[in-house]
Amino acid sequence: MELRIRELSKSYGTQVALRNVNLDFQPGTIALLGPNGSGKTTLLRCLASLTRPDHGQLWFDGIPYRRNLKLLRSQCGYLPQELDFPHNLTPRQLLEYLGTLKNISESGQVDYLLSALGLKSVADRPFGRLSGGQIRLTGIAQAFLGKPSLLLLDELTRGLDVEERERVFALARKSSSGRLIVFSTHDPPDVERFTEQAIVLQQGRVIFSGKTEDLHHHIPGYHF
Amino acid sequence: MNNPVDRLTDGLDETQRQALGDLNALAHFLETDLGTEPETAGRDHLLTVLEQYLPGSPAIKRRQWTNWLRLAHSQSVLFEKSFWLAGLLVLLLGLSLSVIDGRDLLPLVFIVVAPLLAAVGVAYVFRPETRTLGELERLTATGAAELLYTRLALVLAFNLLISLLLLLLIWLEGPQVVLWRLTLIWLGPMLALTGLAFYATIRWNSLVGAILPLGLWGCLILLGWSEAVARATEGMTPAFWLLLIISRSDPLLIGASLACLVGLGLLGLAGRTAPGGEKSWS
Repeated sequence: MELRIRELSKSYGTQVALRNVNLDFQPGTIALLGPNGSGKTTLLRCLASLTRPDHGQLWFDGIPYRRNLKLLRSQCGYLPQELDFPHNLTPRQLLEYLGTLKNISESGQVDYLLSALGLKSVADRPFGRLSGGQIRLTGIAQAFLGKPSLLLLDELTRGLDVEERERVFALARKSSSGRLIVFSTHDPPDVERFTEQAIVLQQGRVIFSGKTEDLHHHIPGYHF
Repeated sequence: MNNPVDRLTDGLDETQRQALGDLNALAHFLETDLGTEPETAGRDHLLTVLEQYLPGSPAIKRRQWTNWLRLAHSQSVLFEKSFWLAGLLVLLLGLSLSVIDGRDLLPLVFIVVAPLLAAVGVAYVFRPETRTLGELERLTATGAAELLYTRLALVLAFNLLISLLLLLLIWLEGPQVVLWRLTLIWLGPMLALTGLAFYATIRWNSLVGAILPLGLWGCLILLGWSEAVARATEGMTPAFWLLLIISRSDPLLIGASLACLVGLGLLGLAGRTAPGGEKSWS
């Protein structure tokens, strides 16, 4: 599983979100860092093929996205930054519904994910009656559904308490083998606990890509 | 040619090799597959088992149908109780009217309400809170158009069922209305308004998808009403006048047929406008 990005640019009106981004991804776990508005979400959305870039090319396993979209999408798990599910649905219904669309025949997967993320007790409660953290955990569960080889997780731990974060990282660690996981976060401890690779974006440009321990040397004053 | 991957891609050019992606895992699997050749009886059995998976096989066709049904069934969880209740309420209204004054009023209510129910239903199932879900649906093995049309088919099927039950009531009330004419005069606006709601919802949002058909249908009803009021001075009730034009007016039939075509065109156009299709990256 490989991803390659060349000269990727994206603007929304006059606001530039990404400028000439060049990156190569191999299986592993990578943290995407940067201040608000630095282009993290846009980059993740482009990687998930949900946002079309203005310029540049993306390749999935050596094949351009436009020629490989079906395969890419069938192997991609995505956690959006904002989650707004129909209020009448329950976490179990959502996972079973998306499981059907992903052609998942393994019946125990939904139960496993609900249990791994501590959602069993609220699995049959409508989203309208769930807390923000529980909705986020359901969003994370659906991203892992179908054991995708590419996981793109936007603001992975947003709104989660310490215990919930631990569950998320335990699940991610267990599922990380042979996969590419790219997650964005504003929380340095998440990065230290979960990965040694990081990409830092600023005003749509990649200003660092490498090991987290080298971050201080490359970006003086970057608190980590 | 010692490399197992080279053996697999022998005779292909560089572009074709690239299109196949990384074949190392497959080559490794084939290298380690040391199963013995099956005997003739075993081979025949295997071929029989595999034959049903060939393109054009009846088994494939059956499976496609079951997949559609499975997809439709899975989508039904997205519909809130209020959606089903709204349909049942219209049916209940029809039942009440048939008890009170079915002969004249029921066809009027049928023509006015049934198309609206379908159009509003379409705007409802693509409401804003399904947007996140829409993005997640795009990242599945199921195509965007398949999903759109399955959801649309569910709405239309439910409304069709309600409408057919209302038609049955009208038929039971008395044979003064020519049913096939009434059906066509209902089907035209229903398809046109549904198509408009579907297209506007996909193109803009569900609010526009609800307002446009409601506004258009409201204007047409007002125009029709002013005509009916004019007739009322000649001693004809609006409901009676409606029954009369359903039974006699050929231009109305032609208009309804055209509305059917426009509706179908808009439904097709909406499918092409839908976000997330592979063409959006071409």
